[in-house]
Amino acid sequence: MSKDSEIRKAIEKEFKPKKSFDEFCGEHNLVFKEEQPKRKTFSFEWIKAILASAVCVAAIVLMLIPFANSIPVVPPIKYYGEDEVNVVNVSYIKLMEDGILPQSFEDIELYNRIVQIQAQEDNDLILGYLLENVVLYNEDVPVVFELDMVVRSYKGYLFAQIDSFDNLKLAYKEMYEYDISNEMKKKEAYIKFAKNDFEYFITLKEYKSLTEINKDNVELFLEHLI
Amino acid sequence: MKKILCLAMCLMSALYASSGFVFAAQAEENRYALDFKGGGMVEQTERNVYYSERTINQYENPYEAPTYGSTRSNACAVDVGGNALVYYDIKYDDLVPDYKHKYFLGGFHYGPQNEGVDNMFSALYDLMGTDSRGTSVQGFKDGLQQYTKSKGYTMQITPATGNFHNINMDFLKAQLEQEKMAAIFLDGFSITSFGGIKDKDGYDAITHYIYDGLHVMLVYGYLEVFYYDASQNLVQKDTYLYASTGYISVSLAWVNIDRYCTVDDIYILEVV
Repeated sequence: MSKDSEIRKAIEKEFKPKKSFDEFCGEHNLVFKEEQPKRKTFSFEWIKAILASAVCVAAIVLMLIPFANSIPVVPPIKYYGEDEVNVVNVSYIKLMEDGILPQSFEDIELYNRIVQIQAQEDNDLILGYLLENVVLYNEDVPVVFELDMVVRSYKGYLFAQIDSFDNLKLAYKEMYEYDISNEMKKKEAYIKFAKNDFEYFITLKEYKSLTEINKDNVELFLEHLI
Repeated sequence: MKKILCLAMCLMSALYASSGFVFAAQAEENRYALDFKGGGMVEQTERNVYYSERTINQYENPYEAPTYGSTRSNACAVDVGGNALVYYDIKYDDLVPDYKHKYFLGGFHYGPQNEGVDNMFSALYDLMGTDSRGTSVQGFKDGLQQYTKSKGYTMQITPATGNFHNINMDFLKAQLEQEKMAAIFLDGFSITSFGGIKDKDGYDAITHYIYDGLHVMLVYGYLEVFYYDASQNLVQKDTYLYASTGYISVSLAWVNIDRYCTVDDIYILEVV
């Protein structure tokens, strides 16, 4: 209850029934303001404001829908296994010119086959390259190895031996991951590294037992021949 | 009487129909190429073989096998025949004109695939009657023999089929040890890479890449692995063939004969 109402009640009680409240106020020059009606807690203005906001949000969403299709969505990568690819012969000179091969491959003479691997369903999609049985050596470096190398240019190319390159335990110069396996056949080293837009997977094999595959020799190979 | 007549007619119709199917099947001879029956890689699987002791009996041709390819689709038989010719070119230098092997630090090395090899593959493709559906066994044999004859030699093709998964294993092993090559015709197979038999503590972990479909490979050796338990009992024997597979990145690998494999035919190839 407001203060004015309390005073009004007190005056009426005090002078009742001698004088009415209005007479008493007139005699004593007292003026009381009319009490304002109480404001409702949830007014029409609030409803209007909420409705207007909702309309604005809806309008913005409707305006953005046509643009939603143009937002680039990354499609899931398509994978290609060994039986979903074609190969074409390619010269190492072309791969050197294109900057795909390390400098040490210049003038290689001993290799069997170099092929470009492309998707069977789309020959324009180049998945990578394979160099088979390359003997890599340099007169100044005391190691000679034979190697197969897959140069992968498309992440979805799953060549058959790719699982040999999982979880390689050793590292050299933070760039190379490698591991040495001594399985049923003979020692091999698996080496993986990435450079520019390519991933390199090397299977290193002993050549005529000239150089043993061990940690020191593999790292010599990485230091000087790759 | 009517019933007997009806039954007889039904029987005759059934016989006629079934003979028709037989003739139709014979008319469509298998052509070796994965695509001929819509084949391809099925799965990669790993199995473990536990043992107390393991022994190995193996032979691998000291020249291994060439791994060249014709780059044409469904031409695995052409690749096998061509690689056999490149191998015998070690002995008969004019078998593949304009192609030379390499020798480095006293060791033999197959030379780079060049125009001479490509021309030989093209000739074989035509002589074998290969097309986009592949090559028949007869086409393979005829084409290889015609090519070899055109160079002044003879390609002897001797069957090596037998009772062990359709292979005469003793005969095959003896021939391989004489440094001869073999062509194996498969209807479903698995490939195990040379790093695919992992020597774990007390067991081997073996990875197979399993394929279905028709395919031909060039065989140049064998590997027999005998697994024994603690009582020296033979608990398992695995038989593999060393093969030039026709698959890039596992161009030389093992083919397991005991499982995931159906051998249709196998022939010893020898140029004389």
